[in-house]
Amino acid sequence: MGEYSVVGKRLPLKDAAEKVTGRAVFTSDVKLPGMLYAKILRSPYPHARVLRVDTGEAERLPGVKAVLSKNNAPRVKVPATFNESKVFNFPRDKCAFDEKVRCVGDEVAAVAAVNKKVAEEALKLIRVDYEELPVVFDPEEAIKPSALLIHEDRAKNIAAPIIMKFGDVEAGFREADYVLEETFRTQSQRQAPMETHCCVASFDMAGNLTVWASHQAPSALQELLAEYLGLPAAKVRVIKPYLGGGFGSKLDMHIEHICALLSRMSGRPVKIVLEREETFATVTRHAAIIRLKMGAKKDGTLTAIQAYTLTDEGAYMYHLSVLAVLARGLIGFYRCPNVKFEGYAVYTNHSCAGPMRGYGHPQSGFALESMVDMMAEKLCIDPIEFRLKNFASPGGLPECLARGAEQIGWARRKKPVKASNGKKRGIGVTCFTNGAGAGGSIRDYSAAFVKLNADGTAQLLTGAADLGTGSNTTLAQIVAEELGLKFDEVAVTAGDTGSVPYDSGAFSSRTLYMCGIAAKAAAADVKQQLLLWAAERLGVEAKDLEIKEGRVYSKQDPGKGVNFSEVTREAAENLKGKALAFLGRASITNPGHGESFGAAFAEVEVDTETGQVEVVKIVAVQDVGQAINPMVVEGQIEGGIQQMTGYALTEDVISDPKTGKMLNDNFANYMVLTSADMPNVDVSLVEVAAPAGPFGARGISEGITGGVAPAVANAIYNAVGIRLTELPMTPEKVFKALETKADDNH
Amino acid sequence: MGKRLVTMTVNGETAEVAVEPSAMLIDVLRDELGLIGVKDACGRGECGTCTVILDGKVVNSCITPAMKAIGKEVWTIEGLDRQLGKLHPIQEAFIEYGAIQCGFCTPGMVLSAKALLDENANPTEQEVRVALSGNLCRCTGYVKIINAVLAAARRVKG
Repeated sequence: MGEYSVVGKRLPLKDAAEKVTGRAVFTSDVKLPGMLYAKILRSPYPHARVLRVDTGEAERLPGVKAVLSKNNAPRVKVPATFNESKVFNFPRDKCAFDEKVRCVGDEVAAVAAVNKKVAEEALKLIRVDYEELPVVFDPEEAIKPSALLIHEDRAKNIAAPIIMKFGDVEAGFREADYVLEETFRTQSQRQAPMETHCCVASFDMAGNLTVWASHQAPSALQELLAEYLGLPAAKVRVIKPYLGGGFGSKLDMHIEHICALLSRMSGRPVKIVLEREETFATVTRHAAIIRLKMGAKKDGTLTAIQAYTLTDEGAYMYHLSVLAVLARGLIGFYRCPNVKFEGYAVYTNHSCAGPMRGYGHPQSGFALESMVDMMAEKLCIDPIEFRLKNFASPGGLPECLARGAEQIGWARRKKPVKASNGKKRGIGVTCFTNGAGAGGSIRDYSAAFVKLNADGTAQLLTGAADLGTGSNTTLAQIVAEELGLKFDEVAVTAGDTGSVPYDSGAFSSRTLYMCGIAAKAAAADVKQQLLLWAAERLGVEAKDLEIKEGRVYSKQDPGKGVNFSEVTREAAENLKGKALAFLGRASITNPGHGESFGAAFAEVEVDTETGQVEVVKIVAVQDVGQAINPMVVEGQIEGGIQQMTGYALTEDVISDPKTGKMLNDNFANYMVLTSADMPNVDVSLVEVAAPAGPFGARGISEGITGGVAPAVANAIYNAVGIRLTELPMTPEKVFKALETKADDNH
Repeated sequence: MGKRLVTMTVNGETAEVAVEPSAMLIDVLRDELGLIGVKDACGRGECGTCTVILDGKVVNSCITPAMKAIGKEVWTIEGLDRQLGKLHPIQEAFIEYGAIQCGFCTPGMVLSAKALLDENANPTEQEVRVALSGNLCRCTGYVKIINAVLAAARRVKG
């Protein structure tokens, strides 16, 4: 897009060599002298009162240094990362080691011991008396007034409903030539980062706490820990080492408070590393039931969209805001004068639902983009044309659709390819979007410092949390471009609340966008300071000066100049009272308009004899604004395709019907795509500048999450004429639907 | 039963370590020898993150008993560049092709790729996909990993 020296380049990550040689230190690699190992005792019951916890024998086991339970843990509600919201009334409903457990896996006790083996032995010695209670797993049951209450201090198993209305949907449906209605069901997916949840906590003798945490929002975690422990924030430091993936699972405080309590109790550093089964049970994507009704005129104009939605929140309601994002995804995507959304976030005795990449878009995308195709077929309008006609704010979307259509070979679609052996091929299309940040509903701001060293190189201090998302590299590119420095001349400090300023956290595709705006602004600030110094040095006005390739020179008289590094050197070595350590700063709020749009195309091959669906190819074209680092941006989209092809076809939770426990809580049975399963992927970028983004960049990482499953569903329909409305689209479901269709035809 | 003193060769050097009979190879490598490049992601040998090379074969070190490595040769990711005195072509390609995001799966992925190229210097894309199918990645979608391995194969050949 723009012509830049560092921005827009496919630069390798600054930390790639650390990672590829195994030198990178992740949280579970952190080792401190005297460190203890902790394990958590978890409820085997989905709903029970905890009558008695007897930890005496465990405490007496040699090597055990601290035991926590309801007998001695503080009765403090666990604060959640988003709980400051004045827009959403997030219930503060979780207390660690509570009087009641509300899902399998809920914490009952915790032990810190000299090694993992002793800790595990100690857990076995803890005796717990439970009084089992009836359970409810189905949101449609849990929402009934007669349903048992999971949180007894609430009147119902729901938060306040989310109602969004515009116009008059009844009139809109009357006006329509065609009205379609369908119920869509999406499953509870798992983030499944390769690194499980882990942390190390350590107090010093002055009561200062340091926590090394595999966490997506170090600044937020600092505040959550301070609140939970009753400490001033100045006594809490959070360090985020290299982090092995999050995808939303590490946005809240899941184990760090327990780790800190054990450290305080024992007087020693404590490490917790969750087992894979524990991470699977910690936090999930919201399963949703969406009843969607759409009305349209013969000419393809939408007249009404109405939706009724239930989201399964599980035992605790950390993120009922997923429902709001889902709502906007359904009614805000296409131009429609009459819309109504009614949704309920419902407690059940399932594991706690929370953030997972996409945050409502995968659910709404599946429903909406499936129904859009159904309506396009009813109207005999090409699905691409139908979307172009109705899309609310196209941006670069028309080009995404045009390019993607060519790359998948959309023209082939009219004449279905005859595949042999009862295998039928089809092509489907969808549009997708994501925002950058939280739209004014929760804390969403970012600060940065840029300091200049005496030799003219720069150091960016950023609150950004790099989860593998590449921000430690892309933010350096932004600062280098702004200052006219080389990429290697900018170093980045991040992930330590003791040395970097605030950032709200890595969520909502906001890191590059928000931390990038802050970094660029801080660089501009320090640049101005440098220009003022140089102006005085050269005897010109600062506004007359330009920086290019390490040289500061007068625009009027280019021969009059000084090297960037000479300015910093002179300012550092001035002995006449004018020494200056250049330090730029910025604190920015979200200007909005960071959203991204794109199109996804899927080609599938359906085996009509087995119901097996093979995704032959996915084409994704996304308007990313200026791609700061195209290699990083492509990697984000490609990774999203792996996750969401799993969402479409293979990732599901098999629950025990009595306890709601996830039975397939291991990689042998929770089917994420391997390299052999991955479809052929063709990702390309469109660049329409975002007005406020750093060099025009947009937030991009979650867009694709709304596009893949419905593209696959639409392709399956194109191939074999069956419309699947429940995820994942397993061979059993496909086969059954094919049988039903065959029966219908007789 | 208590710990036993055993000897194995790790990354080209003799290592004498005290080992519980029930210990897995990953415990010895990480906890006794400080080789943090060996990562634990599932504890059940289902994801390949803990991949090391034992007697020339890739194994999941989280389910390989440490006792199996007595007197044998073990190579972890750390040994790769230490042995060569520089990055292996696979490592260079991973860096250049953007095949690394969070980096947690990377050590295991690189060793599996090395095992492939040691056996088959000119793999097809399909052969690379199959060879790496025991190493899960949740960040990259494998696209750039596959490209990097194919590029490395071309370089090692040439």
